[in-house]
Amino acid sequence: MGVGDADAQLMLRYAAGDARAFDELYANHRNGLWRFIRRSVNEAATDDVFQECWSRVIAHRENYRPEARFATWLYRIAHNCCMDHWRKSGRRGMRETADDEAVAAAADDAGLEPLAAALSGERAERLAAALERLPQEQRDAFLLYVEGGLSVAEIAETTGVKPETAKSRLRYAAARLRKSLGDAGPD
Amino acid sequence: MERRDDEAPFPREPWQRLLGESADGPPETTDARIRAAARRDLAPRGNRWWLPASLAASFVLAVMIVRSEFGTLQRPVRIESDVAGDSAIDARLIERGAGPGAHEAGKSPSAAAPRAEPQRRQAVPEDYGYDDAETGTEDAGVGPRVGGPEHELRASSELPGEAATSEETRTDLPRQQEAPESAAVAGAMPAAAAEKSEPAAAPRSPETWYAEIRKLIAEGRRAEAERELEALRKAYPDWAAKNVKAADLH
Repeated sequence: MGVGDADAQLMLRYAAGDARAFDELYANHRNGLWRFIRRSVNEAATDDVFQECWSRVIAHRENYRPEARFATWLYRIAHNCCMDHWRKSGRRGMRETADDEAVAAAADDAGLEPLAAALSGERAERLAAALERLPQEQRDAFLLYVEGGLSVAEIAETTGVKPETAKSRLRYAAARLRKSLGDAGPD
Repeated sequence: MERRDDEAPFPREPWQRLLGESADGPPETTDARIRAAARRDLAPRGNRWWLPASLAASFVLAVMIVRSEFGTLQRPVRIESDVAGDSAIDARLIERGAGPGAHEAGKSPSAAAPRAEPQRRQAVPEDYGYDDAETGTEDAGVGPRVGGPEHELRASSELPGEAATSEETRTDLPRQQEAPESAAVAGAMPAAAAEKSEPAAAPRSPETWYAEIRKLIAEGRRAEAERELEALRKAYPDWAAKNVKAADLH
């Protein structure tokens, strides 16, 4: 039984009235979901969107069916909350244009093995800044993949595109981020 | 959170480690709020039967209040019009409904209203048990209340030739007010008015009528008794021929 299945069981227990199951579920996804939302919306709105997301989880607990992994369901809700936020605020905050040439060049390096360099705070900050500069669609796909643990197919379903498109967005996002981090990449 | 994904374009773990370092989690207040919301939602939702029940109770109460208020206001109006049966009274009731504006403009439909005005001004609290100013109904267009100045209405309805008998009739009012409503309607009806409003008034049995006539005789009100007897004979000639005895009338 994987982590996803365990989360689904926790959600079912919570739907049956077990409050401790929710605490455990919340602890499992608290930080990852917060980071996903914080990088999808502006910082001021993060708390509101985060709470809205969990409110929807709580409100729909009786409708939850473990047909997919819990994380898929959770991040789909989070993605919808972020979209609602952008729709209400009337802007998407991030750059939509991409330097295709640079991305294409970097994409060639994306398949390389990550370097085993030690992580540093500076690189983490550079990564955060690079994420903010990504086009919204690429950032969503990247965060759903890395933070949510969604597969390409699940990302495609969540964002409403074909799997090929989702995979392409992921590769472009990784290429741009590698380029921002320099030669070392994420490792 | 890592799972096998054959189509994975790149490994997640290095990115997850890097992202996990750079970002913090939600504040503790947010954690507490979400956990509290989760527990609150698990609490059994109370049976909210009291909401429609309280709405229904409020509605019933409001209907009862309105009905009780209408009952207080309508009863005297119906009685007065039934008793007098005179167009002047009807006109006066319309005039009251029209309010003071119609009074002042002189557009009242009642021709008798100016005649009744002086008497209204002379009315004193002793006559009715309360002052017009206390009730506030004279110019409010709602008509007199129960036990109101019926003699005013009578005065406004009578013709000048009947003025001599109005004093006699007026003295009967307190006694009639104590009687039941049906008796008040039938018993307070003068003969002339009874003839006019006969189709609308409830018919009196000859026995009751005759008993009232004898009562009038016993009280020494012979003129009124004779009028009533005459009316009784017209209404029930057969019954009167059999039952009215001259000895009873002295």
